[in-house]
Amino acid sequence: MRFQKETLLAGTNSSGRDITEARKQNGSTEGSRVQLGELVLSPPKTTPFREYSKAIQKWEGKVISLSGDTFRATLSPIVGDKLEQEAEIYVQDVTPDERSFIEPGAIFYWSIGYLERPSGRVRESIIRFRRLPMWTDNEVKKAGRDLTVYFNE
Amino acid sequence: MTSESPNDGELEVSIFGPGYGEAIALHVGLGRWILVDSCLEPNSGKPAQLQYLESLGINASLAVKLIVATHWHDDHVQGMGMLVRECKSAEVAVSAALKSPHFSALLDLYGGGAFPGSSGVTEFVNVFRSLDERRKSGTKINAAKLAVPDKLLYRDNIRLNRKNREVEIYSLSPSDSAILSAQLDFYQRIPDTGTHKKRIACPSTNNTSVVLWVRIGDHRILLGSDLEKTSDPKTGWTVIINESQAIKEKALVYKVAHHGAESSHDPDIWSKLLSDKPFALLSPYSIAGNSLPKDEDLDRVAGLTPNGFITAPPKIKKFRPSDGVVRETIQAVTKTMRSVNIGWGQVRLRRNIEDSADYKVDLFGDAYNIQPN
Repeated sequence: MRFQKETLLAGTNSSGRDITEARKQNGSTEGSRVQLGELVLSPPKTTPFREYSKAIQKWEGKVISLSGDTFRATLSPIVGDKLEQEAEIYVQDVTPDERSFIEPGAIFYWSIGYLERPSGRVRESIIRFRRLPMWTDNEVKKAGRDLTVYFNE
Repeated sequence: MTSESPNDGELEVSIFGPGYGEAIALHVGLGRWILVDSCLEPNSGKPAQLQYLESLGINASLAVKLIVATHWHDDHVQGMGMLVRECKSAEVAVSAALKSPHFSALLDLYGGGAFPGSSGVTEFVNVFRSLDERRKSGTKINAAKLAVPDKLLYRDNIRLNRKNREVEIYSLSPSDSAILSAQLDFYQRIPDTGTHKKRIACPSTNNTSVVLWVRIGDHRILLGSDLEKTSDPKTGWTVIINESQAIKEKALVYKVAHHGAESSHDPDIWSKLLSDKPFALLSPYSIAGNSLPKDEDLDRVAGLTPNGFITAPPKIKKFRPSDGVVRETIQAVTKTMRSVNIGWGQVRLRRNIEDSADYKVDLFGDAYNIQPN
């Protein structure tokens, strides 16, 4: 049977703010809720706060060369200012686990923005190298179709 | 930019360049156009010549008769795939070095979707895809001509005021020796099994560049691409200067080779192949910490002719992000950072094919005369 009920949603969110509220809704009683006449008490509902990153500027980079404590790369914009850039980036800004990836032709992503956390907003700069698979024997041996048809002598 | 297309009897040479990229458009008369190399116009993201022809109200699919991809370097082939696709009636010519099983293997290995973003490989894959489509639709022009020394790539007759004016375009390079060394380079770039995939670095193909010799009636134009001077007499400019059979007169217009770099300068080009005070056209090149032409290159060209023009200033343009947080982060994470494209401009020469009046020069965008004030 359909009926209107008033639900009391009680509790606090992860920041400690009281989010208790009474809500009218259509439906039926569910699970462990306690029905007191038209008043239904629900267990506190809290939405877990998920950390997330928000990029202000993001590039796809291609390593051109590595020299001492920096590597040179071209940066193609994905988010933010649209012009293509070229930068000498300090190797120390790449996580030690990924420094072995820094070689000409390697592809990486550099994101500058904010990390939103329950405790507040943090600025962040993240450089992550793309982990491309290895060349297989099959790929290398199969490559090389006949291009003769595309050329006039 | 003027929206007036050249009249039937007018010759035009236009060079476009943003700082990293070069493209040339030639009007040889009667609405027929030749395009050499390709780069992207920054606002539209389209190939520069397509954008230009469109702005003149010209239908590129009918007007363009020949497209030449002089060599495999990203700054000369960006947008080449689109150019060939859109210019449906154009013949295509490429360096003979590309007819190699190893180049074909590189197209297969690196031309797929595993490597995001455009690269020279992707552009050539798209060129061959367009040729494939032409073949399937029954179009006769469906294969690329291979440029080698003294090969006639294009011939036409322009009839103006009851007189025929011959148009001929010859490739002057690459030499046999340059082709062989390029093919060895391609072979060495085929990856070993078990190594991590990464984007392919452009090979050193300047010496397989296609230099073009253009003859339109009594006018001669030398388009130097990126060909360099080498110590090997069988490659580079030495072969052209000493052995070319196609060059019989001197040219009044020269697209200066390799962005005016010292490595491409040979005094014999200026004394043996060019007229006095030629029109010298340059575009800048700025990548990997190298900027061309250098100040001394500009001084040298300016000392050789008062008619030197460049599409944009070859100066480093520091990147200044609009967002303060980005600006501060860049200062902390990078030693240097600068914009790849430092401007955008077009140098345009026009003259009547039939009379002896000098070229009229129009400069657009950031283009300027390199002669010191």
